[in-house]
Amino acid sequence: MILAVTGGKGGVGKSTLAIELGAALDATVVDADLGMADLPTGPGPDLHDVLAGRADPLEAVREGQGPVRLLPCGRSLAGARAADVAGLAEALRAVESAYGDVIVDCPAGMKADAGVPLAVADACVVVASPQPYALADAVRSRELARELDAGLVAVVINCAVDDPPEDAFETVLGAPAHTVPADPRVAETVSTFRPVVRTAPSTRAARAVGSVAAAVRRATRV
Amino acid sequence: MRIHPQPADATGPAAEPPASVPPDAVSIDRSPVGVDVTTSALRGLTLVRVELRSDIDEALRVRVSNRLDGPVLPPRDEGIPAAGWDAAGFTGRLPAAGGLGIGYACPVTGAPAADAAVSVDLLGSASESPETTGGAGVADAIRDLGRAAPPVDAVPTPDAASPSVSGANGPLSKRTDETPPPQPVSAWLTAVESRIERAERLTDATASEAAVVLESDANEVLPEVSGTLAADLAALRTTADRIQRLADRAAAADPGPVADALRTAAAALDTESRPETERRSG
Repeated sequence: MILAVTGGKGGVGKSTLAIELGAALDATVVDADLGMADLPTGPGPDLHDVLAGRADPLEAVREGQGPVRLLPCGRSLAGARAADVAGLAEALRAVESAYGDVIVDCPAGMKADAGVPLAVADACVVVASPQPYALADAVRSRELARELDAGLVAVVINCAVDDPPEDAFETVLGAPAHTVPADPRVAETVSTFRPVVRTAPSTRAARAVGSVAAAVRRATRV
Repeated sequence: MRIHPQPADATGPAAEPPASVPPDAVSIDRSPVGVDVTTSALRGLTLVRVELRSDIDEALRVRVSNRLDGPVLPPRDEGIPAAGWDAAGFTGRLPAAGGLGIGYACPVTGAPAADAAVSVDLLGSASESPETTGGAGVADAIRDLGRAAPPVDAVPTPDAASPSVSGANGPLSKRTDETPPPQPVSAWLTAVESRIERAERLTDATASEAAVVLESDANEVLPEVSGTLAADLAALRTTADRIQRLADRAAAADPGPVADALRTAAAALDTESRPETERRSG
């Protein structure tokens, strides 16, 4: 199963949720944000190298260096320019056949780098912030996913302080909404590379991620 | 059903091609589906233009296959072959009682005959077998959404990353910091620069410009300005040569590993000898 974690806007928590779901589902997380990657990287080949034909997808996967298997993405503009997003499908399927389930952290926006993961993915999760304008962004992401045949499994309303209007999201988007409450530990998931589903599994945020993971499992194991 | 384009002159005098069709074009007008093929040579390539016309009141699926001895170079959007194209030709929809025009390039020279360029197959009704996009989602996404690569001007190049000294070559031009020259060197260069500026002001000077120099500078400067300029030039050339050689040697020298090893050995020696020294002193 290849699951795309998408959402129209940057900063809503796509990367955070990708890591959390990667930990919850024991999946390999691929940072497909070719222009503005933010998941941890390090020495060795990355997705830029893979998509430029300089490295094999499997040799770019980091195993045993953190709580989640990760295929990171480079951060240089030259790398982003050299990377051919057309090769992403082959890379994702290679990782899936070698390691099993794959979570793709999609970039913001509506260009091909955001669309191609959705075209490859079996299903997607749309992440939205609890702001009033977020619903419109989520609708746009849902439309792109629908156009590219990535079934919407769930909408995640991330970083919620008050109770967000889950019903409105569900009615408009036609998928169950899950609210991940604001939690400073979740806010640090990316920078510390420590998902709360592992470090603090009894928190409300971790349980919410768990419910999203369960929805993904139900939807993709038909 | 396969339609083979025939040379226009083979259809006899009754079927003269219209004046608008180029001489290397062929056409079929007897079938309900007409095919016009045009080939033209351009810079080592052959451009093939295929126009299909249908009088049938039903949309048709058509296959246009390349028969030239070379690969199909299809039209591209965002670097991806346009919809319907593959390595051997084009498959698409010919609308009911309408037309379809396509074109591609093939790297063969000599503008081969148009009647041998392509073969056209009618695959049946387009409504019976709707277009399937399975497996083409990635190409569609790239074509429709557009690539998001940063513009080439935004990508830093090695030249732009390290400013170089203009007019210099070699290691001097690879200076990465702005370390000022030592004070004596700097003072000498400043003095030379002021003398050169004075000489420049007298180079091709008009009478009024020369008069300004005469008024501003002391009289003793003028008789020796040519002599000092020649001496400065010689000194600058000699110094530049020496600086270049020294910079080359500095860039080539790599004392780090050996120096580190010597430091480690010296530290070990020091540790070993200390007890003995202490014994002697005690």
